[in-house]
Amino acid sequence: MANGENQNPNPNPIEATPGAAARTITLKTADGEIFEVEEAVAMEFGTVKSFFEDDAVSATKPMPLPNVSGSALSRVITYCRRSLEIRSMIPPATSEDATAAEAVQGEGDLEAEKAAKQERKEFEAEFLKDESNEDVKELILAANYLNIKELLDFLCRSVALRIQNKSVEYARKFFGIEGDYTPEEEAQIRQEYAWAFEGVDED
Amino acid sequence: MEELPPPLIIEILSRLGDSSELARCRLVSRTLNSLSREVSKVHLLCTLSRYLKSRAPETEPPLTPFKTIISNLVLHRRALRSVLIGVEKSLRNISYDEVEGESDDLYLTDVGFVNQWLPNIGGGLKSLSVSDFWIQSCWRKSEILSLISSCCHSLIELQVKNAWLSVDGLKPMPTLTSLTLEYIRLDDEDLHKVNHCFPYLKVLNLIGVGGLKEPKIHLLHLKTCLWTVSNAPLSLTILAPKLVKLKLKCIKPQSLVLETPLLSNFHLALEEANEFKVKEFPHLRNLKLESVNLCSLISMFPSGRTVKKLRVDSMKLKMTGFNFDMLFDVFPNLSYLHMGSGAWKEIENYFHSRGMEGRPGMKRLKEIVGYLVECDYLTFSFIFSILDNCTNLSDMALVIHKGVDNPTACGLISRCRAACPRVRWKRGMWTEGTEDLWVSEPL
Repeated sequence: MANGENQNPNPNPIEATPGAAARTITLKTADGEIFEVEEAVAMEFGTVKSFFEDDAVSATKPMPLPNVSGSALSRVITYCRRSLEIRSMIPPATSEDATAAEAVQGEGDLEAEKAAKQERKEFEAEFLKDESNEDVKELILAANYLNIKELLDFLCRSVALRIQNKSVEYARKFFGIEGDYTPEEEAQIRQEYAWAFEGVDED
Repeated sequence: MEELPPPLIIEILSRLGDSSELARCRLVSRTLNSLSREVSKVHLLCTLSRYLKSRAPETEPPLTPFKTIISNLVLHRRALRSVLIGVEKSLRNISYDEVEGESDDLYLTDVGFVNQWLPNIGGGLKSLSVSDFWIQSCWRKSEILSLISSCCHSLIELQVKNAWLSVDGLKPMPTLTSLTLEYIRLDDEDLHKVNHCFPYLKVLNLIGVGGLKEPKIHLLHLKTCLWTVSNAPLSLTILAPKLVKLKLKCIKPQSLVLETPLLSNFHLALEEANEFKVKEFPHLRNLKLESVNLCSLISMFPSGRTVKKLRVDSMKLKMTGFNFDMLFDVFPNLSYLHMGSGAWKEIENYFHSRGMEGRPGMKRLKEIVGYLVECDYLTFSFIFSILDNCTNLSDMALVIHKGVDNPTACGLISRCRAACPRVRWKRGMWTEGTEDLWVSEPL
């Protein structure tokens, strides 16, 4: 299916933010990598946001992220950047309808919302396409530590989708857990939840 | 490699499709077994295949009854916040059968059944959804609303589908902000009890709710409303001072009264309006109108000066005098216009017999989307006249029916492009029942 000609290139959200074009925040990962991130993107990280809101910390000093590796942070930044871009596709309410706008909150633009939803779907499908289960786990831990709700929700949803309809062994491998039931215990659970296995073929 | 800590495992388990997935996860390990008890939702639908199996005499071993599964899942789960049970949508299409109707196994709004588990968990429940099996529920009235209002003091969201509901004994539920009743026979003729017991509703969806005589929605905090109603009620009234978004689908109400001064987003589909009493909509921005008689509906509409985005469509083809000029008489400040195939045809036909005069408002129009059923040599002259009058148009999309052959459709777009290169042209294709396709033209 041909993607509709994108006649309106997405405005670069960084440039759109007044006066923030040059502001970056420096982050230092556990393995010593330094990242310079646009302020708008870095503020998506709850942890970073509160760090800079707490005291007038100079934005030039690199903020240490001892629990996040360079590769994970790089993926996280890619996600948040793209997410901001997609969110900016939905035009905010203009000043003319200030009264109704508070209540409506971007309700008006159905087409833009639909387009944004579609972009998000495609982007999210691409994002995790080549990630191994280990990579995904690392990303979940990073998203949790950095307190990025949207990313965490997306990652957890994706994992749930991955382990759904798969065998018990698959789930064990993903979580890195050993099956610790005795055969009798396992049989008992299978019986108790027989209905959940009715009609399901384990792969 | 690090293991995920329990709170994150719970986050993942909470996002599994439904409770049978969760149950299977219990087998993974003891840890997951205990963690799955912390998942705060129970979500289970009886699928069509399960239903058919339960009716097949040769099924061996016999399936666990659906109601038993539900009871066991919710038993003692005081931490539950969300319960969604029901039968899949596909079961709605099963034809009525005397014997089937007598059975109880999927009669989910049965008070006796719900009373076995709801009182126990109701206190902390925030969201409850029950989709009943119509064949078993349609002929008996359920007092489930009374039970829910007695047990669930923190309920925020309630959804009931495919049932016959009584409002006897219904007590006020001040925490409820979202109510959806779909395919329901409701014994509350004028919605009096609904208004009284759910006064803080922000979202109300009444989809195919029967049993209404002169329904009046009177809710002071309502922000969003969806109402699809048959022709049975004598009148329809909505008094909602904070309503911002309304979708109303009706047929031929004898009287339609709307007092919704903050309405900004309005989708109205009706066949004919006899008495259409609406006060002004000083904040209306987005409007979608579908009617058999667009001309009469639009002329009854109060001034649409604030409307910026308009979508119109005709449900059946009836030459009513609906035309392009008239649109701008009522809606002089449009920046976006979307014409469904019926509306386009009517407007185009009018143009071919009576022409187009032009209106000042046309100069404010920036974007048009038009759905075309057919395309001939006259179509271009119509579009040309639009371009002539809408001098500030920047975008135009023509979505052409699949039945029109490709060369004709291409030809039209090329002529349009040549005539008016400043406009961004977009071409699409539509067929009934499928999503529209956008066609990328080589530049």
